[in-house]
Amino acid sequence: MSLSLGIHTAGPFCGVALLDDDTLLAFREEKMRRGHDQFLPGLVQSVLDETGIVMGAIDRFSVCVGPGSFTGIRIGVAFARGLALANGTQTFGITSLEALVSKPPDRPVLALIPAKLRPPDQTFWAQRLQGTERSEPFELSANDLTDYVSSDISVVCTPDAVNTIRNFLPDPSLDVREITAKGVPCWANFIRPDDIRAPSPLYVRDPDAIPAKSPLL
Amino acid sequence: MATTAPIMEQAPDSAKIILGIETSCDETAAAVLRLENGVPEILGEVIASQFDDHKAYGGVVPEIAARAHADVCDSVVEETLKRAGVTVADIDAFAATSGPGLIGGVMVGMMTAKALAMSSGKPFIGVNHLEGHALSPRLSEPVEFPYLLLLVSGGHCQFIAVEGLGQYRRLGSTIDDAVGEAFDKTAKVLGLGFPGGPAVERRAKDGNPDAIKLPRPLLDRPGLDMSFAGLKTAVLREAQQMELTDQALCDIAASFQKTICEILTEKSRRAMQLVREEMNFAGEPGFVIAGGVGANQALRTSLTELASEEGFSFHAPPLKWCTDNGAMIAYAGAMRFISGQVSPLDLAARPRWPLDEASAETNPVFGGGKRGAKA
Repeated sequence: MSLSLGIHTAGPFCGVALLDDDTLLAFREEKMRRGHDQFLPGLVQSVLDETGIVMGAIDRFSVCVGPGSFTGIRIGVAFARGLALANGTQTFGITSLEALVSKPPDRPVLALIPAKLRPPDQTFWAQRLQGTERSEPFELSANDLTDYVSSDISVVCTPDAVNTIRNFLPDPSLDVREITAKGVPCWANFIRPDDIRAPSPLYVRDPDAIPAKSPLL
Repeated sequence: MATTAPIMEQAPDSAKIILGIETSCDETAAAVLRLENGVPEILGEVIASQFDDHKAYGGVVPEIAARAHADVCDSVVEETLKRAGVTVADIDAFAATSGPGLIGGVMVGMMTAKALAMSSGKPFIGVNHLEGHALSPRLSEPVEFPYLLLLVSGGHCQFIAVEGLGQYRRLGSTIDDAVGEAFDKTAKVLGLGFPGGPAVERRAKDGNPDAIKLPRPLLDRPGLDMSFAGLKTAVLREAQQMELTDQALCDIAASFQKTICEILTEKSRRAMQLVREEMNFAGEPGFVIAGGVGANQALRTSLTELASEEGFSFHAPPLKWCTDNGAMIAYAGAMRFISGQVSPLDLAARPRWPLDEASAETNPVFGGGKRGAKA
Protein backbone atom coordinates (compact mmCIF):
# COMPACT_ATOMS: atom_id res chain seq x y z
CA MET A 1 0.00 0.00 0.00
CA SER A 2 1.34 3.38 -1.03
CA LEU A 3 -0.61 6.59 -0.48
CA SER A 4 -0.12 9.36 -3.00
CA LEU A 5 -1.75 12.80 -2.81
CA GLY A 6 -1.91 14.99 -5.92
CA ILE A 7 -2.73 18.69 -6.20
CA HIS A 8 -3.68 20.62 -9.34
CA THR A 9 -4.22 24.38 -9.18
CA ALA A 10 -2.70 25.38 -12.53
CA GLY A 11 -5.96 25.53 -14.46
CA PRO A 12 -9.48 26.96 -14.11
CA PHE A 13 -10.18 24.53 -11.29
CA CYS A 14 -8.79 23.49 -7.93
CA GLY A 15 -8.41 19.75 -7.47
CA VAL A 16 -7.04 17.16 -5.07
CA ALA A 17 -6.84 13.39 -5.54
CA LEU A 18 -5.70 10.64 -3.19
CA LEU A 19 -4.58 7.27 -4.51
CA ASP A 20 -3.68 4.02 -2.81
CA ASP A 21 -1.41 2.45 -5.43
CA ASP A 22 -3.70 2.52 -8.48
CA THR A 23 -6.96 2.87 -6.60
CA LEU A 24 -8.59 6.27 -6.35
CA LEU A 25 -9.60 6.69 -2.70
CA ALA A 26 -10.94 10.24 -2.88
CA PHE A 27 -11.16 13.07 -5.35
CA ARG A 28 -12.42 16.65 -5.01
CA GLU A 29 -12.38 19.29 -7.67
CA GLU A 30 -14.10 22.63 -8.03
CA LYS A 31 -14.20 24.95 -11.00
CA MET A 32 -12.72 28.34 -10.25
CA ARG A 33 -10.80 31.06 -12.05
CA ARG A 34 -9.43 32.55 -8.86
CA GLY A 35 -9.46 31.81 -5.14
CA HIS A 36 -7.28 28.67 -5.25
CA ASP A 37 -5.40 30.08 -2.25
CA GLN A 38 -8.65 30.03 -0.27
CA PHE A 39 -10.02 26.64 -1.31
CA LEU A 40 -6.98 24.36 -1.59
CA PRO A 41 -6.41 23.66 2.15
CA GLY A 42 -10.10 22.84 2.64
CA LEU A 43 -10.14 20.48 -0.35
CA VAL A 44 -7.09 18.63 0.98
CA GLN A 45 -8.73 18.42 4.39
CA SER A 46 -11.98 17.07 2.96
CA VAL A 47 -10.09 14.34 1.08
CA LEU A 48 -8.34 13.35 4.31
CA ASP A 49 -11.58 13.47 6.32
CA GLU A 50 -13.42 11.37 3.75
CA THR A 51 -10.81 8.61 3.89
CA GLY A 52 -9.84 8.91 7.55
CA ILE A 53 -6.19 9.20 6.49
CA VAL A 54 -3.88 11.57 8.33
CA MET A 55 -1.41 13.82 6.52
CA GLY A 56 1.59 12.10 8.11
CA ALA A 57 0.56 8.75 6.63
CA ILE A 58 0.88 9.93 3.03
CA ASP A 59 3.91 8.50 1.22
CA ARG A 60 4.17 10.97 -1.68
CA PHE A 61 2.92 14.41 -2.56
CA SER A 62 2.74 15.55 -6.13
CA VAL A 63 1.77 18.87 -7.62
CA CYS A 64 1.13 20.19 -11.11
CA VAL A 65 3.96 22.60 -11.98
CA GLY A 66 2.59 23.84 -15.34
CA PRO A 67 2.26 24.88 -18.08
CA GLY A 68 -0.69 26.87 -16.74
CA SER A 69 -1.65 29.93 -14.75
CA PHE A 70 1.51 31.30 -13.11
CA THR A 71 -0.33 32.33 -9.94
CA GLY A 72 -2.20 29.03 -9.78
CA ILE A 73 1.04 27.07 -10.22
CA ARG A 74 2.70 28.98 -7.38
CA ILE A 75 -0.25 28.41 -5.03
CA GLY A 76 -0.06 24.65 -5.53
CA VAL A 77 3.74 24.51 -5.47
CA ALA A 78 4.08 26.65 -2.31
CA PHE A 79 1.46 24.56 -0.53
CA ALA A 80 2.99 21.24 -1.61
CA ARG A 81 6.48 22.37 -0.59
CA GLY A 82 5.09 23.50 2.77
CA LEU A 83 3.56 20.03 3.23
CA ALA A 84 6.88 18.45 2.26
CA LEU A 85 8.76 20.60 4.77
CA ALA A 86 6.37 19.79 7.60
CA ASN A 87 6.14 16.06 6.92
CA GLY A 88 9.52 15.25 5.42
CA THR A 89 7.66 13.57 2.56
CA GLN A 90 9.00 13.06 -0.96
CA THR A 91 7.37 15.56 -3.33
CA PHE A 92 7.08 15.41 -7.12
CA GLY A 93 6.44 17.98 -9.81
CA ILE A 94 4.04 16.80 -12.54
CA THR A 95 3.42 18.70 -15.79
CA SER A 96 -0.08 19.59 -17.01
CA LEU A 97 0.57 17.28 -19.99
CA GLU A 98 1.51 14.37 -17.75
CA ALA A 99 -1.65 15.07 -15.73
CA LEU A 100 -3.63 14.95 -19.00
CA VAL A 101 -2.19 11.52 -19.88
CA SER A 102 -2.68 10.54 -16.19
CA LYS A 103 -0.20 7.64 -16.02
CA PRO A 104 2.83 6.38 -17.93
CA PRO A 105 1.52 5.22 -21.34
CA ASP A 106 2.65 1.88 -22.77
CA ARG A 107 2.78 3.22 -26.34
CA PRO A 108 4.33 6.53 -27.46
CA VAL A 109 2.06 9.50 -26.91
CA LEU A 110 2.18 13.14 -27.93
CA ALA A 111 0.21 15.20 -25.40
CA LEU A 112 -1.12 18.56 -26.60
CA ILE A 113 -2.84 21.44 -24.87
CA PRO A 114 -3.46 24.82 -26.53
CA ALA A 115 -0.93 27.57 -25.94
CA LYS A 116 -2.03 30.18 -28.49
CA LEU A 117 -5.29 29.54 -30.32
CA ARG A 118 -5.73 32.75 -32.26
CA PRO A 119 -4.39 32.80 -35.85
CA PRO A 120 -1.84 33.41 -37.19
CA ASP A 121 0.22 32.14 -34.23
CA GLN A 122 -1.42 28.85 -33.36
CA THR A 123 0.69 26.80 -30.96
CA PHE A 124 0.43 24.00 -28.44
CA TRP A 125 2.28 22.96 -25.34
CA ALA A 126 3.50 19.53 -26.23
CA GLN A 127 5.25 16.66 -24.50
CA ARG A 128 6.29 13.23 -25.77
CA LEU A 129 5.74 10.39 -23.37
CA GLN A 130 6.37 6.66 -23.39
CA GLY A 131 6.40 4.68 -20.19
CA THR A 132 8.19 6.88 -17.70
CA GLU A 133 10.36 8.38 -20.44
CA ARG A 134 9.28 11.99 -20.80
CA SER A 135 10.50 14.85 -22.96
CA GLU A 136 10.49 18.34 -21.51
CA PRO A 137 7.31 20.24 -22.44
CA PHE A 138 7.89 22.41 -25.52
CA GLU A 139 5.94 24.89 -27.60
CA LEU A 140 4.89 23.33 -30.90
CA SER A 141 3.58 25.39 -33.80
CA ALA A 142 0.42 24.00 -35.38
CA ASN A 143 2.23 24.23 -38.73
CA ASP A 144 4.77 21.68 -37.50
CA LEU A 145 2.24 19.15 -36.21
CA THR A 146 2.72 16.87 -39.21
CA ASP A 147 6.41 16.47 -38.33
CA TYR A 148 5.56 15.10 -34.92
CA VAL A 149 2.49 12.96 -35.56
CA SER A 150 2.70 9.60 -37.30
CA SER A 151 0.95 6.27 -37.14
CA ASP A 152 3.38 5.22 -34.38
CA ILE A 153 2.34 7.87 -31.93
CA SER A 154 -1.11 8.60 -30.56
CA VAL A 155 -2.25 12.12 -29.80
CA VAL A 156 -3.85 12.91 -26.45
CA CYS A 157 -5.35 16.39 -26.22
CA THR A 158 -7.84 18.57 -24.40
CA PRO A 159 -11.24 19.36 -25.99
CA ASP A 160 -10.25 22.97 -26.70
CA ALA A 161 -7.32 21.77 -28.85
CA VAL A 162 -9.40 19.59 -31.17
CA ASN A 163 -10.53 22.15 -33.75
CA THR A 164 -7.08 23.59 -34.28
CA ILE A 165 -5.54 20.14 -34.64
CA ARG A 166 -8.16 19.17 -37.23
CA ASN A 167 -7.33 22.27 -39.25
CA PHE A 168 -3.71 21.24 -39.53
CA LEU A 169 -3.83 17.42 -39.50
CA PRO A 170 -5.97 15.56 -42.01
CA ASP A 171 -8.15 12.97 -40.31
CA PRO A 172 -6.29 12.65 -37.00
CA SER A 173 -7.16 10.00 -34.44
CA LEU A 174 -7.39 11.87 -31.20
CA ASP A 175 -7.78 10.72 -27.63
CA VAL A 176 -9.65 13.68 -26.15
CA ARG A 177 -9.57 14.11 -22.38
CA GLU A 178 -10.01 16.75 -19.71
CA ILE A 179 -7.16 17.63 -17.37
CA THR A 180 -8.06 16.82 -13.77
CA ALA A 181 -6.23 16.39 -10.49
CA LYS A 182 -6.86 12.64 -10.85
CA GLY A 183 -4.00 12.57 -13.36
CA VAL A 184 -1.47 14.03 -10.93
CA PRO A 185 -0.75 11.49 -8.14
CA CYS A 186 -0.51 8.32 -10.25
CA TRP A 187 2.87 9.15 -11.81
CA ALA A 188 4.53 9.18 -8.41
CA ASN A 189 4.05 5.42 -8.17
CA PHE A 190 6.04 4.76 -11.33
CA ILE A 191 8.80 7.34 -11.54
CA ARG A 192 12.26 6.20 -10.50
CA PRO A 193 13.70 8.21 -7.59
CA ASP A 194 16.52 9.50 -9.81
CA ASP A 195 14.02 10.69 -12.42
CA ILE A 196 11.88 12.91 -10.17
CA ARG A 197 10.96 16.35 -11.45
CA ALA A 198 11.43 18.90 -8.65
CA PRO A 199 8.23 20.56 -7.39
CA SER A 200 9.31 23.85 -8.98
CA PRO A 201 7.15 25.98 -11.25
CA LEU A 202 7.57 25.30 -14.94
CA TYR A 203 7.23 28.75 -16.47
CA VAL A 204 6.86 28.66 -20.19
CA ARG A 205 7.37 32.38 -20.70
CA ASP A 206 9.84 34.92 -19.36
CA PRO A 207 8.47 37.66 -17.10
CA ASP A 208 7.19 40.63 -19.04
CA ALA A 209 9.59 43.37 -17.97
CA ILE A 210 11.64 46.01 -19.73
CA PRO A 211 15.04 47.04 -18.31
CA ALA A 212 15.08 50.58 -16.94
CA LYS A 213 16.83 53.36 -18.80
CA SER A 214 17.33 56.85 -17.43
CA PRO A 215 15.71 59.37 -19.80
CA LEU A 216 18.82 61.51 -19.28
CA LEU A 217 21.44 59.04 -20.46
CA MET B 1 -15.29 37.05 5.18
CA ALA B 2 -14.03 37.43 8.74
CA THR B 3 -10.28 37.82 8.79
CA THR B 4 -9.94 36.17 12.14
CA ALA B 5 -11.83 33.48 13.98
CA PRO B 6 -11.90 33.62 17.78
CA ILE B 7 -10.31 30.76 19.67
CA MET B 8 -9.89 30.14 23.36
CA GLU B 9 -7.85 32.78 25.09
CA GLN B 10 -4.24 31.72 25.57
CA ALA B 11 -2.66 31.81 28.98
CA PRO B 12 -0.83 35.11 28.46
CA ASP B 13 2.19 34.33 30.62
CA SER B 14 3.17 30.98 29.15
CA ALA B 15 5.87 31.16 26.50
CA LYS B 16 4.72 30.83 22.90
CA ILE B 17 6.85 30.15 19.84
CA ILE B 18 5.63 31.67 16.58
CA LEU B 19 6.94 31.40 13.03
CA GLY B 20 6.47 34.49 10.85
CA ILE B 21 6.79 34.56 7.05
CA GLU B 22 7.02 37.74 4.95
CA THR B 23 6.79 37.69 1.11
CA SER B 24 4.79 40.78 0.18
CA CYS B 25 7.43 42.65 -1.80
CA ASP B 26 11.05 41.87 -2.69
CA GLU B 27 12.27 40.13 0.46
CA THR B 28 11.63 36.49 1.30
CA ALA B 29 11.95 36.52 5.07
CA ALA B 30 11.11 34.34 8.05
CA ALA B 31 11.69 34.46 11.79
CA VAL B 32 11.02 32.33 14.85
CA LEU B 33 9.92 34.43 17.82
CA ARG B 34 9.49 33.45 21.44
CA LEU B 35 6.99 35.55 23.40
CA GLU B 36 6.90 35.27 27.17
CA ASN B 37 5.13 37.69 29.51
CA GLY B 38 4.73 40.04 26.56
CA VAL B 39 8.48 40.15 25.95
CA PRO B 40 9.55 39.12 22.42
CA GLU B 41 12.80 37.36 21.62
CA ILE B 42 13.91 36.45 18.10
CA LEU B 43 15.38 32.94 18.16
CA GLY B 44 16.37 32.89 14.51
CA GLU B 45 15.70 34.77 11.29
CA VAL B 46 16.57 34.86 7.60
CA ILE B 47 16.06 37.70 5.14
CA ALA B 48 16.68 36.73 1.50
CA SER B 49 16.70 39.86 -0.60
CA GLN B 50 15.89 39.93 -4.32
CA PHE B 51 17.68 43.24 -5.03
CA ASP B 52 19.85 41.67 -7.72
CA ASP B 53 16.84 40.22 -9.55
CA HIS B 54 15.19 43.64 -9.88
CA LYS B 55 18.24 45.86 -10.34
CA ALA B 56 18.09 46.03 -14.13
CA TYR B 57 14.47 47.21 -14.03
CA GLY B 58 14.89 50.08 -11.57
CA GLY B 59 11.99 48.83 -9.48
CA VAL B 60 10.32 45.68 -8.21
CA VAL B 61 8.80 43.64 -11.05
CA PRO B 62 5.83 41.71 -9.59
CA GLU B 63 6.23 38.54 -11.68
CA ILE B 64 9.98 38.37 -11.04
CA ALA B 65 9.32 38.86 -7.30
CA ALA B 66 6.67 36.13 -7.19
CA ARG B 67 8.99 33.69 -8.96
CA ALA B 68 11.84 34.37 -6.58
CA HIS B 69 9.58 33.87 -3.54
CA ALA B 70 8.33 30.54 -4.92
CA ASP B 71 11.91 29.41 -5.51
CA VAL B 72 13.20 30.00 -2.00
CA CYS B 73 10.33 30.34 0.49
CA ASP B 74 10.48 26.78 1.83
CA SER B 75 14.27 26.81 2.17
CA VAL B 76 14.18 30.20 3.91
CA VAL B 77 11.75 28.72 6.46
CA GLU B 78 13.86 25.60 6.84
CA GLU B 79 17.03 27.64 7.44
CA THR B 80 15.18 29.88 9.91
CA LEU B 81 14.05 26.88 11.96
CA LYS B 82 17.60 25.55 11.91
CA ARG B 83 19.07 28.85 13.12
CA ALA B 84 16.43 29.04 15.87
CA GLY B 85 17.21 25.47 16.92
CA VAL B 86 13.58 24.35 16.70
CA THR B 87 11.54 21.98 14.54
CA VAL B 88 8.11 22.47 12.96
CA ALA B 89 6.62 20.55 15.90
CA ASP B 90 7.91 23.17 18.38
CA ILE B 91 5.96 26.00 16.73
CA ASP B 92 2.69 27.05 18.43
CA ALA B 93 1.30 29.05 15.50
CA PHE B 94 2.26 29.91 11.93
CA ALA B 95 1.90 33.54 10.87
CA ALA B 96 2.32 34.94 7.36
CA THR B 97 1.72 38.25 5.66
CA SER B 98 -1.64 37.91 3.88
CA GLY B 99 -1.69 41.48 2.53
CA PRO B 100 -1.35 44.21 1.51
CA GLY B 101 1.33 43.79 -1.15
CA LEU B 102 2.20 42.11 -4.42
CA ILE B 103 -0.34 39.34 -4.46
CA GLY B 104 1.75 36.69 -6.22
CA GLY B 105 4.37 36.83 -3.50
CA VAL B 106 1.87 37.14 -0.66
CA MET B 107 0.21 33.92 -1.80
CA VAL B 108 3.50 32.00 -1.74
CA GLY B 109 4.24 32.86 1.89
CA MET B 110 0.65 32.41 2.95
CA MET B 111 0.29 28.97 1.31
CA THR B 112 3.57 27.85 2.91
CA ALA B 113 2.26 28.86 6.34
CA LYS B 114 -1.14 27.27 5.71
CA ALA B 115 0.53 23.97 4.76
CA LEU B 116 2.73 24.03 7.86
CA ALA B 117 -0.25 24.87 10.10
CA MET B 118 -2.48 22.23 8.58
CA SER B 119 0.18 19.53 8.80
CA SER B 120 0.97 20.21 12.44
CA GLY B 121 -2.60 20.88 13.58
CA LYS B 122 -1.62 24.35 14.86
CA PRO B 123 -3.27 27.68 14.06
CA PHE B 124 -2.56 29.81 11.02
CA ILE B 125 -2.55 33.59 11.45
CA GLY B 126 -2.84 35.92 8.45
CA VAL B 127 -1.02 39.12 9.37
CA ASN B 128 -1.50 42.60 7.93
CA HIS B 129 1.97 43.61 6.71
CA LEU B 130 1.32 47.19 7.88
CA GLU B 131 0.49 45.98 11.38
CA GLY B 132 3.85 44.24 11.35
CA HIS B 133 5.57 47.57 10.62
CA ALA B 134 3.33 49.42 13.09
CA LEU B 135 4.34 47.12 15.96
CA SER B 136 7.97 46.63 14.87
CA PRO B 137 9.55 49.12 17.33
CA ARG B 138 8.25 46.93 20.16
CA LEU B 139 10.55 44.11 18.98
CA SER B 140 13.54 45.92 20.43
CA GLU B 141 12.07 48.16 23.17
CA PRO B 142 8.82 48.28 25.18
CA VAL B 143 7.17 51.30 23.51
CA GLU B 144 3.90 51.97 25.33
CA PHE B 145 0.53 52.50 23.59
CA PRO B 146 -0.63 54.97 22.41
CA TYR B 147 2.07 56.18 20.05
CA LEU B 148 2.28 58.14 16.83
CA LEU B 149 3.57 56.17 13.87
CA LEU B 150 5.09 57.48 10.66
CA LEU B 151 5.13 54.55 8.28
CA VAL B 152 7.38 55.26 5.31
CA SER B 153 8.28 52.54 2.81
CA GLY B 154 8.31 51.72 -0.88
CA GLY B 155 4.60 50.96 -0.82
CA HIS B 156 3.23 53.09 2.00
CA CYS B 157 3.42 56.52 3.53
CA GLN B 158 1.05 57.39 6.34
CA PHE B 159 0.59 58.77 9.83
CA ILE B 160 -1.19 56.38 12.18
CA ALA B 161 -2.22 56.76 15.81
CA VAL B 162 -1.48 53.34 17.32
CA GLU B 163 -3.76 52.99 20.34
CA GLY B 164 -3.40 49.26 20.90
CA LEU B 165 -3.29 45.94 19.06
CA GLY B 166 -5.72 46.29 16.15
CA GLN B 167 -6.56 49.89 17.08
CA TYR B 168 -5.18 52.10 14.37
CA ARG B 169 -6.40 55.51 13.30
CA ARG B 170 -5.22 56.99 10.01
CA LEU B 171 -4.31 60.64 10.49
CA GLY B 172 -2.87 61.30 7.04
CA SER B 173 -1.55 59.51 4.00
CA THR B 174 0.12 60.05 0.67
CA ILE B 175 -2.48 60.61 -2.01
CA ASP B 176 -0.31 59.15 -4.77
CA ASP B 177 3.21 57.64 -4.62
CA ALA B 178 4.77 56.31 -1.45
CA VAL B 179 7.90 58.12 -0.36
CA GLY B 180 10.12 55.08 -1.01
CA GLU B 181 8.70 54.99 -4.51
CA ALA B 182 9.77 58.63 -4.93
CA PHE B 183 13.32 57.64 -3.95
CA ASP B 184 13.30 54.72 -6.43
CA LYS B 185 11.91 56.81 -9.28
CA THR B 186 14.33 59.65 -8.66
CA ALA B 187 17.24 57.20 -8.60
CA LYS B 188 15.95 55.71 -11.84
CA VAL B 189 15.69 59.15 -13.49
CA LEU B 190 19.25 59.97 -12.42
CA GLY B 191 20.57 56.51 -13.28
CA LEU B 192 21.79 55.96 -9.70
CA GLY B 193 20.69 52.33 -9.40
CA PHE B 194 18.27 50.27 -7.35
CA PRO B 195 17.13 50.28 -4.58
CA GLY B 196 16.80 54.03 -4.79
CA GLY B 197 16.85 54.88 -1.08
CA PRO B 198 20.45 53.91 -0.31
CA ALA B 199 21.59 55.06 -3.79
CA VAL B 200 20.21 58.58 -3.32
CA GLU B 201 21.44 58.78 0.28
CA ARG B 202 24.98 57.82 -0.76
CA ARG B 203 25.13 60.58 -3.39
CA ALA B 204 23.41 63.13 -1.15
CA LYS B 205 26.31 62.93 1.33
CA ASP B 206 28.60 64.72 -1.15
CA GLY B 207 26.01 67.15 -2.52
CA ASN B 208 24.74 70.64 -1.82
CA PRO B 209 21.19 70.33 -0.47
CA ASP B 210 20.33 73.88 -1.56
CA ALA B 211 21.54 73.46 -5.15
CA ILE B 212 18.09 73.16 -6.71
CA LYS B 213 14.63 74.13 -5.55
CA LEU B 214 12.02 71.38 -5.71
CA PRO B 215 8.28 71.70 -5.02
CA ARG B 216 6.85 70.73 -1.64
CA PRO B 217 3.39 69.52 -2.63
CA LEU B 218 0.54 69.87 -0.11
CA LEU B 219 2.81 71.55 2.44
CA ASP B 220 0.95 74.81 1.99
CA ARG B 221 -2.34 73.13 2.83
CA PRO B 222 -3.54 72.14 6.28
CA GLY B 223 -3.81 68.49 7.23
CA LEU B 224 -1.48 65.52 7.13
CA ASP B 225 -1.94 64.21 3.61
CA MET B 226 1.12 64.15 1.37
CA SER B 227 1.96 63.90 -2.33
CA PHE B 228 5.22 62.71 -3.90
CA ALA B 229 4.33 61.81 -7.48
CA GLY B 230 5.33 65.23 -8.86
CA LEU B 231 8.83 65.17 -7.42
CA LYS B 232 10.20 62.70 -9.94
CA THR B 233 9.12 64.92 -12.83
CA ALA B 234 10.47 68.03 -11.09
CA VAL B 235 13.83 66.28 -10.61
CA LEU B 236 13.88 65.25 -14.27
CA ARG B 237 13.09 68.80 -15.41
CA GLU B 238 15.88 70.27 -13.28
CA ALA B 239 18.33 67.59 -14.36
CA GLN B 240 17.65 68.23 -18.05
CA GLN B 241 18.82 71.83 -17.63
CA MET B 242 22.12 70.90 -16.01
CA GLU B 243 25.35 69.42 -17.18
CA LEU B 244 25.19 66.07 -15.41
CA THR B 245 28.59 65.90 -13.79
CA ASP B 246 29.10 63.62 -10.80
CA GLN B 247 28.84 66.67 -8.57
CA ALA B 248 25.54 67.71 -10.19
CA LEU B 249 24.07 64.26 -9.49
CA CYS B 250 25.16 64.55 -5.86
CA ASP B 251 23.64 68.04 -5.65
CA ILE B 252 20.30 66.87 -7.07
CA ALA B 253 20.25 63.86 -4.73
CA ALA B 254 21.01 66.08 -1.74
CA SER B 255 18.33 68.60 -2.72
CA PHE B 256 15.79 65.83 -3.24
CA GLN B 257 16.58 64.23 0.12
CA LYS B 258 16.36 67.59 1.87
CA THR B 259 12.95 68.23 0.29
CA ILE B 260 11.64 64.85 1.48
CA CYS B 261 13.01 65.49 4.99
CA GLU B 262 11.36 68.91 5.13
CA ILE B 263 7.98 67.60 4.01
CA LEU B 264 8.01 64.66 6.42
CA THR B 265 9.35 66.72 9.30
CA GLU B 266 6.77 69.49 8.90
CA LYS B 267 3.93 66.98 8.56
CA SER B 268 5.26 65.08 11.59
CA ARG B 269 5.21 68.32 13.60
CA ARG B 270 1.55 68.82 12.69
CA ALA B 271 0.78 65.18 13.53
CA MET B 272 2.40 65.51 16.95
CA GLN B 273 0.39 68.65 17.67
CA LEU B 274 -2.80 66.96 16.50
CA VAL B 275 -2.49 63.87 18.69
CA ARG B 276 -1.57 66.00 21.70
CA GLU B 277 -4.45 68.43 21.25
CA GLU B 278 -7.18 66.15 19.98
CA MET B 279 -6.32 62.60 21.00
CA ASN B 280 -5.14 62.92 24.59
CA PHE B 281 -1.54 61.84 23.96
CA ALA B 282 -0.30 62.95 27.38
CA GLY B 283 3.14 63.22 29.01
CA GLU B 284 6.00 62.18 26.73
CA PRO B 285 4.27 60.05 24.11
CA GLY B 286 6.21 57.92 21.65
CA PHE B 287 6.91 58.91 18.06
CA VAL B 288 7.83 55.92 15.93
CA ILE B 289 9.26 55.77 12.43
CA ALA B 290 9.00 52.43 10.65
CA GLY B 291 9.37 51.09 7.12
CA GLY B 292 12.32 51.03 4.74
CA VAL B 293 12.67 54.83 4.37
CA GLY B 294 13.15 54.89 8.15
CA ALA B 295 16.65 53.65 7.38
CA ASN B 296 17.54 57.08 5.91
CA GLN B 297 19.94 58.73 8.36
CA ALA B 298 19.19 62.33 7.36
CA LEU B 299 15.50 61.73 7.98
CA ARG B 300 16.18 60.03 11.31
CA THR B 301 18.30 62.95 12.46
CA SER B 302 15.69 65.51 11.46
CA LEU B 303 12.85 63.60 13.13
CA THR B 304 14.87 62.93 16.29
CA GLU B 305 15.39 66.68 16.70
CA LEU B 306 11.72 67.37 16.04
CA ALA B 307 10.59 64.77 18.60
CA SER B 308 12.75 66.31 21.26
CA GLU B 309 11.42 69.83 20.43
CA GLU B 310 7.84 68.60 20.68
CA GLY B 311 8.33 66.51 23.82
CA PHE B 312 7.97 63.10 22.18
CA SER B 313 10.29 60.14 22.73
CA PHE B 314 11.77 58.96 19.41
CA HIS B 315 11.80 55.29 18.46
CA ALA B 316 12.96 53.49 15.37
CA PRO B 317 13.48 49.77 14.97
CA PRO B 318 17.06 48.65 14.18
CA LEU B 319 17.79 48.93 10.44
CA LYS B 320 17.24 45.22 9.73
CA TRP B 321 13.68 45.52 11.11
CA CYS B 322 12.94 48.81 9.29
CA THR B 323 12.85 47.12 5.91
CA ASP B 324 10.64 44.09 5.34
CA ASN B 325 11.39 41.19 7.68
CA GLY B 326 9.87 38.07 9.21
CA ALA B 327 10.39 39.16 12.82
CA MET B 328 7.71 41.84 12.71
CA ILE B 329 5.24 39.39 11.15
CA ALA B 330 6.03 36.80 13.83
CA TYR B 331 5.55 39.48 16.52
CA ALA B 332 2.23 40.79 15.14
CA GLY B 333 1.13 37.15 14.75
CA ALA B 334 2.16 36.36 18.32
CA MET B 335 0.22 39.36 19.67
CA ARG B 336 -2.87 38.25 17.74
CA PHE B 337 -2.37 34.67 18.93
CA ILE B 338 -2.18 35.46 22.64
CA SER B 339 -5.27 37.63 22.35
CA GLY B 340 -7.12 34.65 20.89
CA GLN B 341 -7.26 35.68 17.24
CA VAL B 342 -6.32 33.18 14.57
CA SER B 343 -7.33 32.91 10.92
CA PRO B 344 -9.29 30.26 9.03
CA LEU B 345 -7.35 28.25 6.43
CA ASP B 346 -9.56 29.72 3.70
CA LEU B 347 -8.33 33.23 4.39
CA ALA B 348 -7.91 35.12 1.11
CA ALA B 349 -4.80 37.11 0.27
CA ARG B 350 -5.60 40.83 0.07
CA PRO B 351 -3.63 43.07 -2.32
CA ARG B 352 -5.08 46.07 -0.48
CA TRP B 353 -5.73 46.04 3.23
CA PRO B 354 -5.66 49.44 4.95
CA LEU B 355 -4.77 49.45 8.64
CA ASP B 356 -7.60 51.82 9.44
CA GLU B 357 -10.32 50.13 7.40
CA ALA B 358 -13.14 52.34 8.63
CA SER B 359 -11.46 55.54 7.45
CA ALA B 360 -10.34 53.97 4.18
CA GLU B 361 -13.92 52.95 3.46
CA THR B 362 -15.69 56.15 4.42
CA ASN B 363 -13.00 58.59 3.35
CA PRO B 364 -10.46 57.00 1.00
CA VAL B 365 -7.47 59.26 0.27
CA PHE B 366 -5.58 56.90 -1.99
CA GLY B 367 -6.58 54.13 -4.37
CA GLY B 368 -10.04 52.82 -5.00
CA GLY B 369 -12.03 50.92 -7.60
CA LYS B 370 -12.61 47.19 -7.58
CA ARG B 371 -9.67 46.40 -5.34
CA GLY B 372 -10.60 48.98 -2.73
CA ALA B 373 -8.75 51.85 -1.10
CA LYS B 374 -5.07 51.66 -0.15
CA ALA B 375 -5.49 54.11 2.73
